[in-house]
Amino acid sequence: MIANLLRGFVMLMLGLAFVLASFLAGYAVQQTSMPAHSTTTANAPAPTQAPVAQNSQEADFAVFWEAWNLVKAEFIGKIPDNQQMTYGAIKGVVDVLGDQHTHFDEPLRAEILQSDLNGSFEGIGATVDMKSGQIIVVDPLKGRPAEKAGVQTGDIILKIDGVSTDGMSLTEAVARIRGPKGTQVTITVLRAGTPQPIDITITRATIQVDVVTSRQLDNGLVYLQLSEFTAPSSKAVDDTLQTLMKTNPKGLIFDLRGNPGGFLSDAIEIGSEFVGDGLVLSERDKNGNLTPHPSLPGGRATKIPLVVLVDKGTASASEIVAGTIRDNKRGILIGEKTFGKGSVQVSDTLSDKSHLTITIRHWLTPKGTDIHGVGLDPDIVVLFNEADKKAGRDPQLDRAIEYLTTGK
Amino acid sequence: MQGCVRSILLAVVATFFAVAAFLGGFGFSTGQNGQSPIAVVRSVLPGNSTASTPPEFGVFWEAWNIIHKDFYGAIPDNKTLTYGAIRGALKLLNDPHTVFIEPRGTQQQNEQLRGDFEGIGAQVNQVQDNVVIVAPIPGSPAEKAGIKAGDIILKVNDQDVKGKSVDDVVALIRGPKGTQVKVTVMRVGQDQPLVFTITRAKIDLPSVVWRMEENNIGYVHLNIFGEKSKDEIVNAVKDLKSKGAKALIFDLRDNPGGYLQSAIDVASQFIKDGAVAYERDKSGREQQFNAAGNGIWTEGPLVVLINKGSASASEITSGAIQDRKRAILLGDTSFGKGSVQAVHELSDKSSIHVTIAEWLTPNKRQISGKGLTPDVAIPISPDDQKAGNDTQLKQAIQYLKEHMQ
Repeated sequence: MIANLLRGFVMLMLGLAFVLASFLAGYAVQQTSMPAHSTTTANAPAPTQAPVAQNSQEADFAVFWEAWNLVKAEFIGKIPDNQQMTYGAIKGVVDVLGDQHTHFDEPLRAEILQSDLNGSFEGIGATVDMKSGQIIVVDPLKGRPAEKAGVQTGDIILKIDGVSTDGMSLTEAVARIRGPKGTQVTITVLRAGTPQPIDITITRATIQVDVVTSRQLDNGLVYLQLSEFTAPSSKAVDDTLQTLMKTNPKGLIFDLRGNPGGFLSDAIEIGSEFVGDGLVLSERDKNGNLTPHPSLPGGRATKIPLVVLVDKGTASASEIVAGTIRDNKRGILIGEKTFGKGSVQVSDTLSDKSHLTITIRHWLTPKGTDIHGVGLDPDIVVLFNEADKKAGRDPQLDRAIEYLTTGK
Repeated sequence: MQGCVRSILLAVVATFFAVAAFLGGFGFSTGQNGQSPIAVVRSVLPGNSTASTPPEFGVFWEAWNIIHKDFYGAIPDNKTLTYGAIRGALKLLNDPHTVFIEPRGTQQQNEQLRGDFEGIGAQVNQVQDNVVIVAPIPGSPAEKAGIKAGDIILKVNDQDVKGKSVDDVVALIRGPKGTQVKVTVMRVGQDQPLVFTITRAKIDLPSVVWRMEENNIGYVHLNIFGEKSKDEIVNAVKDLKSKGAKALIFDLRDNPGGYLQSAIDVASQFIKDGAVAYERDKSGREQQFNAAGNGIWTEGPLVVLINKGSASASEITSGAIQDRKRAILLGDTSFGKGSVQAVHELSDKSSIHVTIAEWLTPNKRQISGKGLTPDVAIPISPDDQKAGNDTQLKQAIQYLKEHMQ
């Protein structure tokens, strides 16, 4: 890193998103579905640093030091160190802003979030979660080191390399499990039905997250699913579309259900695959200034009949792409109302490598709609209920096939 | 700004403020807290408050500046952000009793503990969008001027208050004694709003209520351990004695606490001599607090009523009474707060409570998280609660009848 403050580029992702990101990434860092998360890849020059007029701010801030010095002098319990205190103060300020998508992440956590968004990291390839203070394996990803070594869903991780996870945060546990490929980590797990804890030694590897799935459907249709907008996403979509389009399909179903979003740049690139010549979105800053983002040349699916599958888990970058496809009359939306996250975050790396992610703009669809808190209504509403799930049915996909086949 | 006034408080803050907000009604604090009792002062306030900004804190200003430059939404003022930072830092202590209180809450806290305020003397409550008079305090300027329960406040000094919070309306009505405030209210049955011009006065907030029950059993309820509580209890018991009280029920239910010194002084009214409580500081050093002597009811039959709302200073007093076998505790298990806070007023009239010690009963019990178990457990069923049937008080009377000579 060259500069102290690195400014990252913009991300659109919401919490749900994040769960998925970290989920796939191997070690879930956060289990809630509410707060948004985003990180940064680009290293642009830093903006603000110290000498901005802080006099009046610091005068107003004096009461903070009065309070903290009293705590340090008198509090009966353990006093956090200056770094923790600083992070606590920043989080307190961020809380006051009342925006669930604006958040502060300590260096360790920031690094994990970042590698999740980069789409690849070195680890064992299992997702974990925190339940009642215990670190639990949610899903050992198929074919990855954890699964191969015998880690199972539901395993409670008691120790990592001999260190007890008692009182350990999920972030710290993930950081301890991850490490350079080729190195080993031993986790001690408790498994239902097995009285004694089991030691499992796993060799770490590079875990590449697959974000795209595709297949040929009947009737000359093709299906493309994107699970998140992380760094590898646009290339993966581009490569897959190139392959799919060679078969001259009659229609394309683009599945964005449950896709929580990701990087704005990927949303523009992926939106441009479907929109020939037009606007993908505009951004609006807090002063009302608009920045248009026209489509990029070279889209691979700008003519083919198109249906986008959406649901309430379709958020942020996914809503940009769904919105641009509809506003440019490139296709229709089938499924359920989308999440409704119309804000854009930027993530700054602070001098100690912690990250501050703040809402900086809102984005508008090509027709100028701000969908924040509203979502996109599908052109054809088709629900997907528990019974469908149990029976292995996908009525939304079925409807999309019907639409592309019959034109109705 | 001179140094912060500090005093030791024992209270469950959340409950306390529910009470404070309610009783706080209309009042005004002169803002000077110089008369507050300073129960224990063990450490001196750190000097220059900004002298020792640690280098790690630079990151805070980086974040602060980025927010101010780029944040899309409305940015609260510096004061609000600063209070957020304080709360964020205090959160790390994992202590629910080390808390920050904004200036208005500090004022209410001071009034409650001091036992008076300057205002018109009416309790108010929020009813949907309106602020409504619950009751004018008997003898207060509000009552004398003709304010009645149920009056809906429309304007204060000709300013429309529709949609304003109770706190905001109270702040408008408050003012120094001797000054006037114009209150416009809507009253059921009246076509036109009524306008009252009321001269503010000093209003007492008594912490004690007392009365005589059947069989010459006196009843005293204390709602907070404030500055005047000891004197009020002495007056109440003297009055009951003069009316022939042979036994006493001391009700500490729903009393969230107050000053440590007040707890010792109140316990001293019932315990002749010897240990009332111990305080144990950070280094493990213990200080013993003894009964002050000359208590007003140290011999006669006594029952203390407690419930889960009896906290902190209430638990010191009732714990002393239980451990010293002075009387039985009757009711429900108490709250269980065994820590002591120092209260500091900060330069902008906000305040901070810092947990500085724990206290122990005379038998060296630490009751945090456990509470005191009553000698006679009498829960109040929801039905009785609803019907206003005080089964605990009835049992206390029954117990005293059986144990009185």
